[in-house]
Amino acid sequence: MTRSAPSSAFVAGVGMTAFGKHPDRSLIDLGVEAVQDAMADAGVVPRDVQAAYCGSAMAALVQKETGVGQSVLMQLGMGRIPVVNVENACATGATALHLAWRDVAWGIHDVVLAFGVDKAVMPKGTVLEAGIAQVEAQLGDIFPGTFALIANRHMTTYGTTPEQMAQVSVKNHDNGALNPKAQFNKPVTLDEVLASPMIADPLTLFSCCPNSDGAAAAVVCSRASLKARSAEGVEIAASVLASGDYEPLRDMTFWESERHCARSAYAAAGISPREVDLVEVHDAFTISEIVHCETLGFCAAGEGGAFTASGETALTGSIPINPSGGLLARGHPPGASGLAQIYEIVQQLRGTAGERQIRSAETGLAQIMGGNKGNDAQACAIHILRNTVA
Amino acid sequence: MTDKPSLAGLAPLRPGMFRLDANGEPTGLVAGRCSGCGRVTFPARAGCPHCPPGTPVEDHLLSGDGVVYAATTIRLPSALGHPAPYSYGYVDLAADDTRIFAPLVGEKGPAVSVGDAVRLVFFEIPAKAIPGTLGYGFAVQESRS
Ligand SMILES: [Zn+2]
Repeated sequence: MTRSAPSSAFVAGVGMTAFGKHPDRSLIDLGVEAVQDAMADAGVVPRDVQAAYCGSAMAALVQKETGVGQSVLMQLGMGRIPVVNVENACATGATALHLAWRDVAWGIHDVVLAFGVDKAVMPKGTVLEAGIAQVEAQLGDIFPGTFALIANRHMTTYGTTPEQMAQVSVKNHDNGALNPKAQFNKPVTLDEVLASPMIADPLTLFSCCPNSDGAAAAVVCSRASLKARSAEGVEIAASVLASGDYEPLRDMTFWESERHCARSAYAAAGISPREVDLVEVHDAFTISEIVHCETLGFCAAGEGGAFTASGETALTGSIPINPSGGLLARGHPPGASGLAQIYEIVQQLRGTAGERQIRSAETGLAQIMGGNKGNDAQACAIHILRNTVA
Repeated sequence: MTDKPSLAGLAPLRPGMFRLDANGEPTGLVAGRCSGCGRVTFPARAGCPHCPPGTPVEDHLLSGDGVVYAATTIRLPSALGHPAPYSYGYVDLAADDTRIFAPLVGEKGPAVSVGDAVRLVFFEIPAKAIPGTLGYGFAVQESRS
């Protein structure tokens, strides 16, 4: 069994670039901006940072670039320290954060940097060739299709409707319109989502998140480090990373890896879903948010569609989901998305989220998952953050 | 009935995935069956999570009759160049007590639904990036009225 961490770790600072299209900026340039922002926000200088984890899911594939972490930190005059480059599909950024959390929670370091960067906007006429060595991909599997199969099972089993799924996209675009860092700042209507081109039945184009460019970063500190600098931080109450069990006959209306991850995270934080004030989830496709809503315990299995349609997950609802706009509207550079979720939750818990601010937000949960493996995801990560007196 | 084109010269999608007849034509899919608990995985996995390490996984010929568990139709070509529209999903194989990923072919085109009875078929994978590759799929059985 996994032992519980001996000490607390805190997010002391966050930074991110605007997400979207950055054709004239390099990966390194984007990474530098996010890291500088996060360090300034945390009030740390280069010599304070004792280790760094850099996530990029696409750099080796798209830009043919490796060692992105060291390249970014060299620009900032940060050497000597251990730097690990991380790849875990769409859960890459969250994986970098998990590793930084481990170092601090287990007393190895006091100040650790986690950042993630990708440029996933593809030149016209080219497509992203992620995962094409897998058997399923060679038989024709593409990412939207995998999620379309989950939607197909959810509709068959629970009667979830295309309108309910489309409502996820409408809500997240509404939220994105309030987020200056988001790729899409324009609302869409239910009809526009439903009438956009079909990609993989039943998922239309506006039911799918974009490929984006961007970077995000977080500085993780120990309690002692915060005290020494009279600084404040948001506590990481749980950091869980899991893979699936890949049982061939499992129920495909949800992801087993996420269920396992959620149970572990709530247990580690010592809370129930009722105590969560806001949520950022992996809405790579509309159906995903509906399933996450159920698996994370905000409504019963099968009720995610109706729950979404009722407005409970909107900014003004009982459990706001993806106040940032989510992957659907904020955009999705896979290496950075997990840390962009943390950026949003930290703003909300500090009360600095502007027009998106959720009242009396004290506890936030971030969930992200990446890659297809068998009939589940390669990785699922959940972080629970909360305001505590350090 | 027309003669089917020969598939004998194609490279298997994965080594050992297909059972071939004396002429090299595919006749079945080879899965892995745990000799401890009988669990069937396809493509075959090296070990079984439910049994002691080292429990042999044996070759197991899958049945050719299945029922569609989940299906979707893709409306744009894949990164590897599978021409759209095309369908795939998961097929339950009751005789093997397992479920496998598979391309799906409807009676008249790509339309396939959950619950459809389907039968194993073989073909050259129509993806530009991997020419000459032997693949498999499941096709809706023709209704005889
Ligand atoms: Zn076994």
